[in-house]
Amino acid sequence: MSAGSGMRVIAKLDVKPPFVVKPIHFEGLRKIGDPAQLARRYYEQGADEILYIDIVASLYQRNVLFDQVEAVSSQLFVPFAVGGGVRCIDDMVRLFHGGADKIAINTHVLQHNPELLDEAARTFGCQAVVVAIEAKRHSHGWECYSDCGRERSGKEVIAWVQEAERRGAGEVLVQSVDCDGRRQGFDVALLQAVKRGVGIPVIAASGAGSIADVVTMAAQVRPDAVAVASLLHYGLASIAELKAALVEAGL
Amino acid sequence: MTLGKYGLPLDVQFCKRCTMSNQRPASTVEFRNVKGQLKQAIVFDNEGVCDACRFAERKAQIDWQHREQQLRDLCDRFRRHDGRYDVVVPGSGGKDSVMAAHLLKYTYGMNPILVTWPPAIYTDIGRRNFERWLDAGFANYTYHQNRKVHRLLTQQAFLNLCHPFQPFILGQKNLAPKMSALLDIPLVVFGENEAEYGNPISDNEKPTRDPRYYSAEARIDELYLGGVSARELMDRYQFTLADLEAYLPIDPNRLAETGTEVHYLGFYKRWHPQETYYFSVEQNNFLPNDQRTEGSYSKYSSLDDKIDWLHYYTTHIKFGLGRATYDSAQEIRNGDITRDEGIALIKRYDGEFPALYLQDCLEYMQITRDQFDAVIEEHRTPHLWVSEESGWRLRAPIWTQETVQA
Amino acid sequence: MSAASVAVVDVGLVGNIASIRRALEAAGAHVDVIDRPDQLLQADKLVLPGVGSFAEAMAEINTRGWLEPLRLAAVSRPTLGICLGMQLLSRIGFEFGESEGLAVLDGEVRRMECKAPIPHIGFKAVTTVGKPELFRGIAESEEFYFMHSYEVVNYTDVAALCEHGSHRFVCALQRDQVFGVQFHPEKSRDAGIALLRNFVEL
Repeated sequence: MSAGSGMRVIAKLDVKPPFVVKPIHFEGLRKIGDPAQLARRYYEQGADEILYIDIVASLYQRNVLFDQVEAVSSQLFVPFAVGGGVRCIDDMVRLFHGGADKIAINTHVLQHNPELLDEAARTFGCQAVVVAIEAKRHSHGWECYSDCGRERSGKEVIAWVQEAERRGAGEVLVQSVDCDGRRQGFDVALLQAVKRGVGIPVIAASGAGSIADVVTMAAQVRPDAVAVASLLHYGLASIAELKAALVEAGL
Repeated sequence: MTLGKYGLPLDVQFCKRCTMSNQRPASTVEFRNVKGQLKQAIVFDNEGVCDACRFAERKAQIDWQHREQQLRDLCDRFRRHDGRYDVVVPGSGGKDSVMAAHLLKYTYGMNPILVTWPPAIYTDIGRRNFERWLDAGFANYTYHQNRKVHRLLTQQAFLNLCHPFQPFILGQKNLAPKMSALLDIPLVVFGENEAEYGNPISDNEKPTRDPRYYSAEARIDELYLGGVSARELMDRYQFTLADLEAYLPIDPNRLAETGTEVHYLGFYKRWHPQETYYFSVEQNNFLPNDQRTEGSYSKYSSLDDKIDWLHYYTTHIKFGLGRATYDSAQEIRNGDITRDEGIALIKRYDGEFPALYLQDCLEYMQITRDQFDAVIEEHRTPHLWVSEESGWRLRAPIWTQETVQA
Repeated sequence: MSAASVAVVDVGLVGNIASIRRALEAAGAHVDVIDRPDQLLQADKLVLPGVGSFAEAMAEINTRGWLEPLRLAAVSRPTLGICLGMQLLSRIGFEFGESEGLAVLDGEVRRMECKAPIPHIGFKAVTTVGKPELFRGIAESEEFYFMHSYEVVNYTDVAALCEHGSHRFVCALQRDQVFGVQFHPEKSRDAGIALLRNFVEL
């Protein structure tokens, strides 16, 4: 049961198949557990959506491993978003056949071919296309990164998300390289800037270490959804507790 | 058996388990390193598996609880109760020294004093992490090298040996034992052990570093820096003994007076570099690189010295092994990535030209780009490289070898 | 009593049929996926899913000869359109130009306009109108998953309404045995399965 505003709580699985892992600052491959089991557990805890990102697919220059995705999706009756190494329409088709409801994409559209966003929106509907951002702070704002927080793009986050929206992305997933895995709170300024800059739903990610972190950020940013990883993987809170706190805070 | 340049085997082979090749030399006793010296390469056994992988196998069998008890005993032996420092922890604020200092102080109740032989050219990340190290509550002695000397030695090491990292390595191994003698603190504890990375496995059997790496009862004429004899350096550049002392091995008698013992934490605690990264971030706000480290795919290793980037480029030229190879070999042994993944990463990044900091390095060494190119070409190993229209290409890179069942 | 039989129509659009199949099975149905128009008339009940845009979907339907068979089948046996599937049942759509729908139900498919972010994505409770069979036994507080930018404007056959921003729109339709839901019951946890069960057990 979500709050009046319908803010979704999304369980984020960063995957280096066959394990869910939890990097810090988009580095490190500490193993957390089995993707299908964790997806099932978070689903049962009340996750509104499950987000599965193969974080090394682009870096290792391969596709998402489709059979791994199928194993996870077969357990779920909530939306399942999948990303990692997506480079063409065909990749997306295969993912949908494997049980994905939405596709998340970053590296290929950011660094090589933004037109793929237009094509994807036309083919699948913009609501099925999530543009994922890896944002890193610099002195005047934030820069977009790719390949698991490794490669710079020279593109400003706000300019890129606005372009992505124009091209047909239906949602934007905002991750922060600076806050990722630290469990010390979100990059609120980044999230506010993105929320102000686009009209499509914004999923806030990276940094939650406590329920208070999420509630504080949600009050300041009013995102359409929040994605949590460390919070769940390290047993710091359950999804039910988090949702109850959000409801209580009127969010 | 005919050997190629540097005394390396002509036939390139790769370990069946990791990505290391038989071209990798073992650690050198640097102050005896001269041009034309033949290297001792790492060992593959009759199953084609390298020493470092065999050691990784053995790591799984070691009784780590027993080792930890040995560490506690070691600490008990050296712990002081009068408030004075009782252990020297060398490092520059990288993840290994950060973790070593933390563990010794906060887990094992020691009172560390940090000792730093700083990089020739600090990166911004390196400086930041150094400060965060001290922020955690440690004092530190940094030996700031005579810049004229250090620069000259780096230059000579590059020109003569294509090994600009040598002056750093010399100091890194020497400083801590010397400070131990100077401060009268016998116990010195380093992070892991190079033997983890492919030096003879017998080097791993003991917790202490072989004294021949940092001490010698030798006459000044027998010692070499940057491939040049110390005597010649003093004559040619008017350096005094004091100028060179930091790079020269310490007199072992002096160490015996203090009772200096140099230990590795990696002997007592199961070392997993990625976990060391996590530890240093979570406990000490350590920061990884702002972007992918050139020449590799990682962001958490060897970040503080701009010369490092050049160093790995030279290892690629001389041995066909770049940073991505070293990083991936280590991560494969620790179960972070698979061999196939390592190969994909090597193919993508190994030997990447160190454009980011090259100009800084050239200015530091006071050499021109042309001189740089000439040195690189002079040291490029013929049996490893073939020249084509598009440029130099490795003859037998790992990604063209048959896939093996590890 | 054997499980009720439901056919999921795969008109050739790219998309996720697997979730619907699994959800229908969880709702107690025996599921066949049919991909040829001639199979329609053998089905006891039909589910019409859809991913993509109205214009592209109708183009596929026309090219592959689904148009007349679907129109016929949809009015002669219980049929449930889901999301784009519900939109396709309408008379006309305005996504990527103007195109005719299946016209099984009245109504126009128009882009949603409201202050809240579009696409409309997330879980929302719905308000039923009358006592629609699909929602029998499902509490008013239950929520369903929405993922769309377009809505069906049809107030004749309203079965349920929803609100996004301060914009109310039709989220479920029913006329005789033709049903449509704008949300995804296969993505709506137990409430969605319950709704599908109501359809399966008709």
